[in-house]
Amino acid sequence: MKNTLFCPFGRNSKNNRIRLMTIKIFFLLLLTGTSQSVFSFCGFYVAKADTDLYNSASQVVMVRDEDRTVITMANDFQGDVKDFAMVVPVPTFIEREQINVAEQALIDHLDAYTAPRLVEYFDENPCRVYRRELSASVALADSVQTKSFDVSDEALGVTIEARYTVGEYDILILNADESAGLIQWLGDNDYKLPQGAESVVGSYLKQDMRFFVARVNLEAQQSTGYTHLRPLQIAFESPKFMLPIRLGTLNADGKQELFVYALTRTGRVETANYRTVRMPSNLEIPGFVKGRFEEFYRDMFTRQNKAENEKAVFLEYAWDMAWCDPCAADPLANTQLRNLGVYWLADTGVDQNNRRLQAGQNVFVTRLHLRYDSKTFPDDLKFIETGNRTNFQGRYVMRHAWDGEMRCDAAMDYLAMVRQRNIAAGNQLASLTGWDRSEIAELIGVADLPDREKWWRRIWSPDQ
Amino acid sequence: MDPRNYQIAALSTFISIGVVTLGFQIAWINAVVIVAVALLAQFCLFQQGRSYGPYKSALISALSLVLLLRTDVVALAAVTALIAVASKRFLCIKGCHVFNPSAFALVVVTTLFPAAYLSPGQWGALGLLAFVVAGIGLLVVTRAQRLDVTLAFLGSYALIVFCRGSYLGDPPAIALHQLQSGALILFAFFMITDPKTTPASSIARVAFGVTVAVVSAVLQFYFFISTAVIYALVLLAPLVPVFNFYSRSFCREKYSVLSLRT
Repeated sequence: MKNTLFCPFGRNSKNNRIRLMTIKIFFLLLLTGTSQSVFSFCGFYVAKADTDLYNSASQVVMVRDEDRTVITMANDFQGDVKDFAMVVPVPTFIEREQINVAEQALIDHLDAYTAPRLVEYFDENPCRVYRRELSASVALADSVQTKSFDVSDEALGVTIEARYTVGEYDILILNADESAGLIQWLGDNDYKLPQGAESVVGSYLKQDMRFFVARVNLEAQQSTGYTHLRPLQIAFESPKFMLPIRLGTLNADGKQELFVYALTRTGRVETANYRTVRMPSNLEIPGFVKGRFEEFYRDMFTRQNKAENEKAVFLEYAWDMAWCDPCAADPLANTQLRNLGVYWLADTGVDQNNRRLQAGQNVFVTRLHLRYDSKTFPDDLKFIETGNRTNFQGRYVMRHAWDGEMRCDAAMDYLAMVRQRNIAAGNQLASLTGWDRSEIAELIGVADLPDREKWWRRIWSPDQ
Repeated sequence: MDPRNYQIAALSTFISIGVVTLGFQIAWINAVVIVAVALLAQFCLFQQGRSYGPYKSALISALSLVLLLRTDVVALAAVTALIAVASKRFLCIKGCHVFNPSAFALVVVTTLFPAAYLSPGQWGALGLLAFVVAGIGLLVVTRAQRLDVTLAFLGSYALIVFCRGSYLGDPPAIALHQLQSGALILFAFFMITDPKTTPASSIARVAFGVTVAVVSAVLQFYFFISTAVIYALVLLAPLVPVFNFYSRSFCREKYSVLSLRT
């Protein structure tokens, strides 16, 4: 029921039924990746026993308010947990109480809430007016993960500033005089580092950053009773509002996907050192795309990314967290937001109905999506929080023609209108995705799909 | 040709490119309000007789604000335009205003009001190209009178960025990426070159350009301010009389950019 919405959409006079469908694009990308284990946050996974591990797609939630940051790193590691290790550069020393383990469901919910959405409208019978309703569903995939552990220490100019066990993770905060010592220490301790790590590690050390190293503590992990690795959270205070992505490019197999969800008080977040571009949105696409929405969105993303020379960050969602329209999933409750680090919210624990009525929770969510490698994104991502609270969402519309019986004069006009509409939507689709025009023409049931409607057809053969 | 006419044309072109090609969200109401308030403030605060010159300067400040300021609050746009023009009237030493009007107004308003902000990363390759081309055009129009400060600033900033990259052991691609910033080039050609708020002698201008570059780098890399260059210019503007004093030259221009008239 929550997904059945009636949107005041446009100037179309027809009363339409709409249906909303969201697709878990992130998981799709993941599943079509490699059969081996995947993922990293902006750090990199280091394998023990020479297991080849790749980075593919990451999800990061960043809560930012003034100099305070809470970062939540989704963990979709898929492999033997004892092979799991994560190295993340952090700007400050991290105390035990600044680290937490969150629930994956929080990120899944945020992903679903902010995901690009497909909206369906069903034309009414042009000869009569009556209504039917249709319920809708949100397809939610679930990620399945696994876990592991190990630790040791030594000198080599490497300082283990702290050592904690948090949830299923053993965590070290490392500092070092120079990168060579740190690299050797990590190597001695069975952390397999990718080629080229030394210069990147050295650069971060000189910028006074520490290294947050996490592995799975098998005993602790068993006692948690979880079958997957939960997201790690770190809270710190630093003027740096950035995401270190350089390490992540080192052991990656090709380009990586990164989704950044920013939760702020003031407004939309954008990158200060790369262009942030809105995804084309509120566009009509043909009905047959319904079953191929994931493919549509992925191809559109690829094409838009190419148009920006693969150097842009894409805005997929920017919205006041208090509401949504149409909703791909309910807005997150205050409790959920607090668990993600939105510390300025009162944890009222209100129920769903009350929450939906709260206007302006003072939380603004931004969803950014980028596909990067070291060539197109050589530098780390630097963000700024803007004062812009304009809502934006990736929203795609399909209109289904009335397919029942029509007995009236208006039917001919209606059919001509539908045909024009289909051609326009087909053209839109071709230009967004680069899909083959003749294939689109066939699927929408027209002879061909000209780039532009030939104007002379309107003179002599208006029905063609 | 009056360089101010050229600057007005160039800024209008940048705004068009931003809105049409780069998808900048510049509300037309903001643009109208900024231009109107700036011209009105110029009329009310100054005795300009029959000359159009001062209005051109006010229009240049206004167009710079339209190009750079982002806000959903129209009142803030108006306040920014007012501060820009008023700063020329009230923050003045010996007939020379101290601050670059648009830079000063942007720093004040974006610091005080979170709803107003700058968007430095949005120019992309096209914006960068446009700035370089138009910047070279400006040099031609002004017979390269302010080339010294542009080169001193850009050269020393590039040197700092490359040296920092080399110290950190970073690949040159990172330094290059940091230098290929539309905001940086726009600043180097169109903001730091304002004759009224830069030193009067060439040697002092070079020293000023280098100082702005050093302070920008410090703000950028140690204080993590993404719009460091504008802050650096505003912070250092009060030192311009000092530069002038040591180079024994004085500001004589009555209005911004007037000395560039050819």
